[in-house]
Amino acid sequence: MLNLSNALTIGLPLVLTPTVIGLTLLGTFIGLVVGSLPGLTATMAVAIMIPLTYSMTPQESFALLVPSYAAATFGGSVGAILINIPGTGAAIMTTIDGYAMRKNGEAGRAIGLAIAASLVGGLVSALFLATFAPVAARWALRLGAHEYFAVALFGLGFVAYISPSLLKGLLAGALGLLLGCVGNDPVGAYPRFTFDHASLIGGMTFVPVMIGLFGLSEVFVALEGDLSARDVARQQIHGIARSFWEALRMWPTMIRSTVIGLLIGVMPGVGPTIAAALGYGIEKRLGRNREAMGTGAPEGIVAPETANNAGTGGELAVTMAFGIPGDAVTAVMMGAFLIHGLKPGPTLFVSNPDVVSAIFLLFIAGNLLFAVLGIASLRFLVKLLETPPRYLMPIVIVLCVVGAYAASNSVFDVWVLIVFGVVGYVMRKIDMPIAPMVLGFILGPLIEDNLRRALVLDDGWPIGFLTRPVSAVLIGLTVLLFLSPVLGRFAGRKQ
Amino acid sequence: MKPVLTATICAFMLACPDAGHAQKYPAQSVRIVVPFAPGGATDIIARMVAARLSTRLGQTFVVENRGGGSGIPGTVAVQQARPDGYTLLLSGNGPHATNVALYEKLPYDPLKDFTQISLTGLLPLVLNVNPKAPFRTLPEFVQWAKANPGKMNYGSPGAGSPPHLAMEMLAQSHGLDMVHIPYKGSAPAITDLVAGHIPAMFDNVLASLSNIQSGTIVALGVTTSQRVAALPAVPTFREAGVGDFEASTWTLLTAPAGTPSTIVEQLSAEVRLIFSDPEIQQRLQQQGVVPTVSTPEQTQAFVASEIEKWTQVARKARVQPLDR
Repeated sequence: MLNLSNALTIGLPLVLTPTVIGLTLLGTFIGLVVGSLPGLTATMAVAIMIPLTYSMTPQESFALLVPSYAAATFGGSVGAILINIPGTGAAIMTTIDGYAMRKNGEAGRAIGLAIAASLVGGLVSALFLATFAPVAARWALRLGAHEYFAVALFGLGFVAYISPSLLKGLLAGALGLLLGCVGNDPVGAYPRFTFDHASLIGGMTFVPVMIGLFGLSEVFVALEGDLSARDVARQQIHGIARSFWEALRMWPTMIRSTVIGLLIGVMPGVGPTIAAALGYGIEKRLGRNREAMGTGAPEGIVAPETANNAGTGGELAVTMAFGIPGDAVTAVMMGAFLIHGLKPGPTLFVSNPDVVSAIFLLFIAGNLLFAVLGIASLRFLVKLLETPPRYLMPIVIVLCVVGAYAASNSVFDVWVLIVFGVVGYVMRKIDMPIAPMVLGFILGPLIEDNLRRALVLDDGWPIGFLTRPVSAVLIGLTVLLFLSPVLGRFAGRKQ
Repeated sequence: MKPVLTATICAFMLACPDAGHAQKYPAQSVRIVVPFAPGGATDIIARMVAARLSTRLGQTFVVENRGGGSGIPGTVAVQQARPDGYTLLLSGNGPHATNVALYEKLPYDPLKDFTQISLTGLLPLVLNVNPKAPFRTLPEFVQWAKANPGKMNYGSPGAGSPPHLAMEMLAQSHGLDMVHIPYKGSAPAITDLVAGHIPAMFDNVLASLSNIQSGTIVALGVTTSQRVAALPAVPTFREAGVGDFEASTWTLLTAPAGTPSTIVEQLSAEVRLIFSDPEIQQRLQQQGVVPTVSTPEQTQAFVASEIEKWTQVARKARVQPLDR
């Protein structure tokens, strides 16, 4: 089995070669750039680089891929903070307080917080990957359809809390759920809302919907204003050390979010977006500074950014330990394993301890490097904000279109992008929050799929949700979550 | 004189690229569309074939994943592409055979809209069970299912997928009553099989291999006429004494109908050459793929017979067209 000292003795000699070090730097840089640009996701970063790795040794190819995964997960927050467009799905929650801080002239502080939070989440998950990968994967295996349903429902419970207006938040969430119904139904494969269109059979693709709602709509809003105007908010840049210190002082937030990230990370198919949403939502319920969240509170960045990066190690752990990819990125990465003749699965840790050790070290290196690169480019990134919109916005449009197309190489998805750009614009105009809609869209299929599977497994009886401890606890928490505003009001009236 | 000469040269140059095309293929990079998400068996084979074709033909063959929707969107994208040999499809028996049985309004015809190039490997199915399940052999499995009608749950990567139909085929031939639990793809289904949430499922050998080898799932039988090299200890269905049962899935390289026959022949010959390399053969066999290739004509005939076969299975299993 893999442990820390083992990893160092077997892994270090493999990793400390000039080629591997160079590739690690390159991978981190590419991940950071691709992650921070709207429309280009971590999956794309990895998928684009895989063909380059055909002729490399396994450790060389993972030097390119693994750090880019970690860096892209952090990179998403840069776009979210600077231009209100999340670079990846995992950074959706970061737009809320991140962009608010940037409007207050605190973009530098916000990015600093995101770097610190991502670094801590990523490093803790790396240690977790090294120590508990097989154990955690085995634990995750015991979770079935019932538990996945309960987790997704719990996530849905937070949709209301991440919106300033309860009604509009719920409405947006419901619209998202409806969108998630498009495509073949998960049990009978009966086509729903597909209008006999081949491209809709598999449902809406996530990337074009997300970047339409967040990215293109932002461009439309900018078009209303003076395109030649420079940014009004003067951005202050204070010492990066202060941001780190500030983030570390929020250790209760970090611990909560790290635990959430790790738990969600080892559950295949749930993904970093939901980890970030739960991190944010729980912070908004329990955090000390919950009242300020939504208006530029530092916790609004630290909570989701810790959670999404804490998930990365868990996802890698499950992919390697059971050959079961947790999300699109790790699915692509699994292809890389197979191309090099490595079989992810329980035997990998025994048959290729060298590769596993190397991956672990590369993952840590990636986390440290994105922090260094992030700090180094902080000033430049903030300066970028002084670009007048007439130069910035066309670039954003191009990136959105490229990203929508590249997600599955489909022109249809460019139309999806445009439609959802308009939808997002209308939503912004009527002050309807976008994040709940995207969450509903991700959670809907997860809920439906697992609910129906659980019911088939139990001959149609829903009692299984309450007799299994994990799902019972989660459903109990969800009920509490839904009732708490009502109960709170009731208690208030009594007084 | 000069303008005339210039015009002639210009006209000649304009005509040239086409002539160049006819002489040398490929003159630019080639797309190979895979109608599935990355990481699966078809994708792995596609990437391997693309890498070899790139080195052999001196142009990049790029694998493009267009997953989802039972492979229909990806297949349609190639059907509508220009038939010039620069857009190819590396697909499998889902989009190219079973969909014909499952969708009444399938927007393409695998036989008429495509020119088949070559098979690129058979993927035998294997019946896997959870180690704690009360059956360790194929006859025990059949007996248990027979004694407990409606109690045997089985997973599949999706409604209408070959593993689903294969189990229906088995149920039909032995009069079994089992409950189908569809998943979204192979990975989550295997997860639940390993965890014991479902006791049994068919899947291709490639997807099951690492879990079989580590003992987290048990392979009862393979659906080929001969044992599979990667699983020498696992009997075929006939050997295990539960009747004739052959249901392999497969992958093929194909192109939009109307692709010049010289290009189709050239690619088919290249694929056959690539697969004759012992190193490739060994690598595929280790992963549970049976290296199988064919000429364009053989491939066309094979696809036709497979469509016929799976349509009958679906009909026997009373799987309704999904879009009626």
